[in-house]
Amino acid sequence: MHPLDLDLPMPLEAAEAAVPLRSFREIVTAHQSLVFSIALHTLRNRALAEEVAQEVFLRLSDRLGGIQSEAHLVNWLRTVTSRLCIDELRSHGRKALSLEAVPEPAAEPHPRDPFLSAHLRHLVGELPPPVRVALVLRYQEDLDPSEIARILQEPLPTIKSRLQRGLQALRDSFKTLGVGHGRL
Amino acid sequence: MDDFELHLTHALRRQEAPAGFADRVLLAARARRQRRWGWLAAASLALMILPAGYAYHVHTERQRAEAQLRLALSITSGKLNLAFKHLNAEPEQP
Repeated sequence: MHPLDLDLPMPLEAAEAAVPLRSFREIVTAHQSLVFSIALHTLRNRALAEEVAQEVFLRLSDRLGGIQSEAHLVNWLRTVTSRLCIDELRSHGRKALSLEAVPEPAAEPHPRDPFLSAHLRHLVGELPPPVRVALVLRYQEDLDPSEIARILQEPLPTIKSRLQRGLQALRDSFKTLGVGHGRL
Repeated sequence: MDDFELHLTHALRRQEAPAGFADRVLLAARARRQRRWGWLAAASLALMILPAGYAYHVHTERQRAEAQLRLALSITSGKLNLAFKHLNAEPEQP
């Protein structure tokens, strides 16, 4: 029996390794949002994000037997997604969106303001790929810098510096555009 | 976490994957698995066909060599018979 047989439990060796007995479909359904969101926020392109997310799960299907726990699975998915996104951005040299293309938001931003959120996502898309991925892992996945350093296999000071620089660049862009009257 | 980071957290919150994403992943995984089985079958077939082809080649070469040898022996035999007849022929009277 193969783990890809829909709705069937994983084979014994894989099932023993992955703590809860789950089918591949259940794993995809449970974690598709995590993978797709990292790809979407990093790549800023829904079709490409779906393509990368699909590739992540296809790679997972080959390595299910080696996954030891739910935490291991989540960590694996974050790591592979981040790396594939960076590779994708580097290989295609995708141009970041220009600041001029970003519509200016209204004053008095609210944390749930969809316009402000869209604007912030555009600005994140302006950042260099390694900084972008670090920010997405920090603010989407709520990981601390040491976890991000482990996922991206970079020294902790490098990650801290990227997060600081990325955050500062975003704040500066907001100030330049006069968003929120400098309140942020 | 300050206000700006709260905004960023909200902006970068998880998004739902497109509808039917899991189905497409499973289909792609199944197609990839079938492709792999296809390659494996082709490789196995090639591994079976190559030795059989080589054996057939050796067999036909051997048959050709045997036929050539038979022809050569038959020609040699004819020549030897002719020479034998000449040697045993009665000398002509002057």
